[in-house]
Order: sequence, then structure tokens, then C-alpha cells
Amino acid sequence: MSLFVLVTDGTVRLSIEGSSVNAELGVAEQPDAGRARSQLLSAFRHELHTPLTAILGFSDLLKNRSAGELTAKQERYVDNIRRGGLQLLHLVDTVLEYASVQSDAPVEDDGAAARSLIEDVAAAARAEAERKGVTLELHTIAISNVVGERPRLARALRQLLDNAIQFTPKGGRVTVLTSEGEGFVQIAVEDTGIGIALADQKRIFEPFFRVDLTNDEGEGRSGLGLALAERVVNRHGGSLEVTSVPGHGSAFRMRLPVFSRPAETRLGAP
Amino acid sequence: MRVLVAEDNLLNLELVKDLLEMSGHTVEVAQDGRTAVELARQILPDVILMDVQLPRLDGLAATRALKADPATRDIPVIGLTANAMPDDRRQVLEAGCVGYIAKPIDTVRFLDRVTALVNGEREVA
Repeated sequence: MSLFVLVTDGTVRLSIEGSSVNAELGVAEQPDAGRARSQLLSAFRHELHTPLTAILGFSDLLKNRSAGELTAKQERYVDNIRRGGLQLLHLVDTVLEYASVQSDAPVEDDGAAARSLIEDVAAAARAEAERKGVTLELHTIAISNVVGERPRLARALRQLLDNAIQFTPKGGRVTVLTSEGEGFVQIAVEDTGIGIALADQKRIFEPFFRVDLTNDEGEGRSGLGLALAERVVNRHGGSLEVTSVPGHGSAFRMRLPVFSRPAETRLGAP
Repeated sequence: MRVLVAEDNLLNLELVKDLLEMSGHTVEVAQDGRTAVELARQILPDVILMDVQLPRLDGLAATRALKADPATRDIPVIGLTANAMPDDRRQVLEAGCVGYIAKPIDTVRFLDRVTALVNGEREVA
């Protein structure tokens, strides 16, 4: 299968031989540019997942001794191939998600119930917190629903929780707090972790920016997590901010507009 | 079981074929959608693993053709998709597949998943 990308005066044309995809992306936004873009990203995902299937699948088979016994060194190398493959898979999915979150496309409203979203995300992150010996606490009051795409908002919040857990030493605490202001709800993720230097606080939302780490804490991270989270929040008309004191902890505050259609039944906890 | 695997990527074809053969299944292969439909009519396999993006006739169109033919209608077709986003999953089920397996393939669960789908488990969109 071959991939062709053709760039001519202001138009990017992509075609994949042997598949049905043929997308065009104009620089000047066309009415169907969103659809063409989404087809293009879908084709990228397919093309990138296909070779990863072979890398991960065959390394699995070797590791499971499907092709015979392995020496300790061979097993280590196979593990390394597999870990590299998984890192690449994570990177591919994050990059494509980042590219697909276009701030100009309309938000598809699932009527995300903010409180149940927080509870679901926290439940999913709890195992990692326990593994690390970090206490995860929720202090959530009944808040209004937000306008939003639940899977993307969940992913953004999960990113904040994962970061907080990762950069908080054993015995520390991560707290999720909710509050509500005029027309917005706020979800804050606070930790008692290593904190972020002032100079870095401005840059952590930049794609591929990495805080200097002395250990291997950065391994397997895409460098896009916070950039993606901010994009998602901005796309919803909200904001994402950080305050931090190095050595004491960080607080990320996500503000999202309240779902304004009159529907009392949608408010608060289910 | 006699399994027909329709997959155009030779590496992934070998992977799926080996996974099935290791468990004692017989595997026939097709590398495009049209061949898959023709072969299915000839050999009437117990199950078909159909890659969604195939040359000549894509996997969804091939599945629809199999479902429209009384001779092959009852053979369960499992979609193999490297693009398991909600829209793609829905398309796979709408074409008539009993379920789908996402790539990269989870080699540990692969056989259980195939067996469950052949034995009547159904995916919900």
C-alpha cells in the first residue's frame, strides 16, 4: 500500500493506493473541510496501526514462547520491542486525537454530567494512585452539567489526574475539588507533589514541552497530554490554568461553561 | 474450525493465520474482498475474519455481499479494523458483522473472542 501526499498551491491532497480514501484539505476552509480532515486522520490511524499490529503481535508470540524457548537476553530484547511498540501506539493515538480536536469544529454535546464524569475518571485512576501509595480524595459538591463531549472531557481530566499521581511522591495526596461560579463550573486537581518551576508553568501546555526530570519519570509519555487537555477545554469554551509551588505541589483548574438549556433533571448528581 | 481470513497486509495475515493454526484451526486466505467472497461461496467456512479495508472490494462491501447471498448469509463475519473509533465500529456492525476485533490485536484474548462470536455472542453498537 502506498501513501501519496501532493501539495499544490494551497491544497494538500492525500491518497492511499489500494484503499478507498482520497481526502483533500484546502487551506481556505471549505464547508466539508472538517469531514475531509476527519477522513484523512482516519486513514492515518489505519495506516499507522497496521504495521504496529505486526510489531506488537509477533513480539507477543515470541514472548509467549509460541516460537520456542528464549534466552534471558532474548526475552529482554523482545520486551523492549514490545514496550517501544506500545509507546509508539500511545503516541500515534495521542497525536491523532490532538489533530482531531479542532477548536473551530462545533462541540458535539453529550450533556456531560460533570459530577458523574469526575467520579468515573477518579475511579479509573484509583488503581494507579494505590499502586504508587498516593491518596486520591474527591471533594465534589453537586454542580451543574456542562456542555460537552464526554469522552474528550474525561480524557482531559484523566490527564490531570495521571500527572498529579505521577509527580506526587508516595504518601502524598491528590484531591479533586469542584465549585461553581456564575455560568461556569470549576474542577480543580490539587496535589502535594514536586511542583512546577515558575518558568516551566507557562510552557507545560506547549506540545512536546518536557519538564527536565532527573529520573525516568518521562518515559513513555507523549509530551502532548496537557496540550491536548488544554485544547479540549478551550474547544468547550473553557479555560485550563495552573498554579504551583515547587516542592509543595500543583493545582490545575479546569473551568467549563454551564449547560444552559433549562433542564433541572440534568443538574447535579444522578 | 475452518476459518477464512481476508487481509491484504501480509505481516498481519501471517500473524492471524499463525494464531489460528496454533490452536488447531484450518485457515484459508484471501488478499482482497472479491476473492474473499468467491472463496467463501466455494468453501463455506465456519467463520470469516474480514479486514475492513481491502483492495478491489472493501471488507464492508464484501460482508454485505455475503449477507445478501442465501448460501453464505449464515456464516458469521468478524470485522478486523485498525480504526476502532465509534463510527467505524457502527459501520462494521451495520454491514452485517457479528462483531469486530481491533488492531493492534490482543493476541492473548484473540481466540476467545473469535470463539465467543462464533458461538453467538453479539456486539452492541
